[in-house]
Amino acid sequence: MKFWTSEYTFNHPWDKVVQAAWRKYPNPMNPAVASIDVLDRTVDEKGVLHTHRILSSKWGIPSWVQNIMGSPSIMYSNEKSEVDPNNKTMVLKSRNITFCSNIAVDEHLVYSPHPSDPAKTLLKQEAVVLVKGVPLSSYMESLLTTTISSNANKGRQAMNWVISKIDEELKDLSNTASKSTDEFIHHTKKSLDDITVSAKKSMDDLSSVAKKSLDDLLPSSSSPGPQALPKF
Amino acid sequence: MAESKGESGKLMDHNPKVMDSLDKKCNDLKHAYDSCFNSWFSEKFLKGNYKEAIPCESILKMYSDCVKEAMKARNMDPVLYAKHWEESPMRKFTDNGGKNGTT
Repeated sequence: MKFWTSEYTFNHPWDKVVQAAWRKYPNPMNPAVASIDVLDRTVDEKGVLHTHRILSSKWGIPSWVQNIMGSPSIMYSNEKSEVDPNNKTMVLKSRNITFCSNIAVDEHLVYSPHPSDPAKTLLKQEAVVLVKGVPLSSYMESLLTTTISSNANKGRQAMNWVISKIDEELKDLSNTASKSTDEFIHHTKKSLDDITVSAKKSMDDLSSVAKKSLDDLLPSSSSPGPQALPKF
Repeated sequence: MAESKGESGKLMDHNPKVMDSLDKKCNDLKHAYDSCFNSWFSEKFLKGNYKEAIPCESILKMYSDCVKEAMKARNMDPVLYAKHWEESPMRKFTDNGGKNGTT
């Protein structure tokens, strides 16, 4: 059995980090994750959100593991989590489903406000790797632990990437709102201008038609004066 | 791949915007549910308004039913998976509480 633990600090407040946690995938650092589904989600009487999800990955199984264990095309894992907004903790626990008769990779993550700086978030992460009943089990445990460590680094980069995307979205949203207003004003003005030009043109047309009609009424080609109008 | 205009440059090129379900036929329900959940989570839940009826419940039911059906079709028992933690054959080898013996 192998143990691994690590801590990391995000330079963002807890509320923002936990929102990002739900939006972590897809991201460019973890392209192997193929699907995530919520099987169950409830809020208990204390206001804690409980979620059960199932995740799948398309690859990421080292070939030496496949040689020993077989080559599934998809690896599934279970994840259970609790978000307590009052105590500001988010706890995630996951375990692989695929290969679970011989391999157990248990991960445990806790996100909480950093004890020295509430504007930051502390992530405490640990994993337990157990391989039984297959050859080279201890060796497999060591290499799986190394894989977990490298995936953890990618996971943190992914979280930072998602957080910056969320920030960009919020910026875009306020820009779009003001852009829309500007566009609306511009469009309205243009329409008014068009209407004015069009109205003016119509009036010009009307007066030249009127003038033409008037000319037609008069016997002479000279410009009509009021005295030349026929008397009705 | 479409040229990215984002600040992240190359990183954004190949990236789909949303995660898929394990079965494509549940994708629409999943995406609709995820949008609903993300809004509710930031605007209500984190602000302490968890006692109000959650607007996403009905779509969650449809979505998770779709997923459970898809799992059964692939011989993945959703009930078994929910009990995975307690019934894993590996549990008897771990130190995390739980006595020996799996059911």
